[in-house]
Amino acid sequence: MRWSLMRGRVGSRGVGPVPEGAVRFDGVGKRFGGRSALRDCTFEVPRGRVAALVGPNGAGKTTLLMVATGLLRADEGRVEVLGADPARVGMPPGASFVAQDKPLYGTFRVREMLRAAAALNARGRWDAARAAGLVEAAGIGFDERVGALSPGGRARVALAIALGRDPELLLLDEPLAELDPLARRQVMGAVLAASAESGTTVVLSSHVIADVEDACDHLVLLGGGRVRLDGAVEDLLAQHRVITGATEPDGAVVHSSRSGRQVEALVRGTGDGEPPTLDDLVMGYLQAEDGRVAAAGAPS
Amino acid sequence: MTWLAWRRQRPALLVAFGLLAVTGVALAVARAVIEGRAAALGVGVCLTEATQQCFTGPVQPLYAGFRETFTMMRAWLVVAAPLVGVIVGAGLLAREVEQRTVLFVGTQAISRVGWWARTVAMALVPAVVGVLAVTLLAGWALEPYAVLYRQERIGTLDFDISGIWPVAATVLAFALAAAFGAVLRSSLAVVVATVGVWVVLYASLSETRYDLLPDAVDIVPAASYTGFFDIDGLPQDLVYRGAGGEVVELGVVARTCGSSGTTDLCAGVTQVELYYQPSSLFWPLQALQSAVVAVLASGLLAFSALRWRRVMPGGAR
Repeated sequence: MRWSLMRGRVGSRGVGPVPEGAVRFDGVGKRFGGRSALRDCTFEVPRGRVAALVGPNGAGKTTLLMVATGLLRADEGRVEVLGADPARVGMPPGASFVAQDKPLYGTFRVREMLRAAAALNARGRWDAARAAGLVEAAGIGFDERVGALSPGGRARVALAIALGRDPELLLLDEPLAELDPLARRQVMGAVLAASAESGTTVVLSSHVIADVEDACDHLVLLGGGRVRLDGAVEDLLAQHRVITGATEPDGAVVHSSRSGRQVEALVRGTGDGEPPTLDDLVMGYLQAEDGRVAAAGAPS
Repeated sequence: MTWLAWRRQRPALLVAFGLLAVTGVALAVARAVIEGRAAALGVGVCLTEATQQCFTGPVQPLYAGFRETFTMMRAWLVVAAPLVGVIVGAGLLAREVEQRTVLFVGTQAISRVGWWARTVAMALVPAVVGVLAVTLLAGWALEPYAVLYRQERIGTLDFDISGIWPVAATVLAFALAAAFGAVLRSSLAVVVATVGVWVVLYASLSETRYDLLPDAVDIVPAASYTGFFDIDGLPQDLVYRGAGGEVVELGVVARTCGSSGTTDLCAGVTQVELYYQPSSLFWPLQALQSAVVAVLASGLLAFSALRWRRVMPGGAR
């Protein structure tokens, strides 16, 4: 089966060469017992992008990332990460992952943690100087105990190790959760710097739009285990309008809400109205009823 | 990777080695103390050979004073070997799941089986070496006690603390912990399960130990029976026989002969047979029981490795 999933999707770019996808999901499903965590997930993140995997709690973001890293095996569909099937090869070479709770050896000192990462990556890529440099830049002492680090410090060490693998693809599960505003800014800065320096593709999950809207140029919106929307942020915003009026507008209304006599609607298409913010877009699709989104031509 | 395996296991290995070190010191002190006391009493020879004068007289204070120490030391050594296995094995895999570091390890460039093998080897090899060293030390330190109390090393407690059995006990406890560690998600649960199953297995092996190889038999005519057998081994059964070779029940002998000290002409007994496990069976029995444990431990470790492939689904294949 060839990859044809981008055709006809919201946000697909029909003009110009489409770069090879760093992450490709095609009809991926994952169940835990009787509950579907992922259903028919189809999307692609092109190489070089900083993609936000956005959705409410329980949307399936962590499951999706764990399937992408090979930590979980999809029940159906096809997954390709950097051209490899994680279910077959495990963590794809060239990819790095930081789990939500940044699991590191708490009793190790930072220096030992870096040495451990070097040992675990002896057969792969490991840039010790880069990892150490990132730790140093974060102002973290090499002799500090990992378990005694602040959540921000722990995130910086985990990120340093992930980037020390010199990845082409960086998968981050809620990297900013539990961090204070300053730490959020620092971690995001380190991620974006890595992406800018070496063209690393980044996929980071979050349930807070504000965390990612200034950093990401690609969006994958998950809701109820399904991909609701995906594509380049710029294109997605350009393809939608927010229309405010006394009545609900005609056309492909994604979602509308009434406030007094005013109706505010997120509409797919160009024309009248204001361009939506990323928050408008995400909230509109998450609040939309499935049938209505489908009628609007949005992803199933 | 060897360094990482050692570093991860360092606390458990240090606790285990601390335990063995304290045991070793206690053993050395125990030998020095009994030798000093024997010298003071002028019965030092009773710690090297059991002569007739070592039954009575000045040796009595020595005999009475150290029995409890000897029993406690041996009982502790029986427990210490498997305890070391539990200590180094309990957190080996379960802690990775407990602390979710399995997600970290599983997304690095290391194969799951390679990681498992190095982790297991790094924990098991030092534990085995440590237990072996303490076993050798115990053999030396408790030698005077064994002479004084006339203990045969094929006897129950002595068998368990000498030869290769202590190492086998360590390996079995470790393998159980590794197997449970790949199934259970809590180190505490692993400890409880390992101890429980180990006790059952140990009881089963101890119960069947002396049935594995045939007993030797010492036959004494009733006329010359003094109530004692001069055997080199562990008594298993005493049988009284009549002139026709029939077995005379012990109850009958006791009622008829009373405490006369001889069974001659009592209850028609013509000969007394003592069945025993000779000391020469010590190594064959050690080899047999250790082989059983080796097979069991291999199976448990194989299960642990296979199970770990599922617990740690990431990692390079």
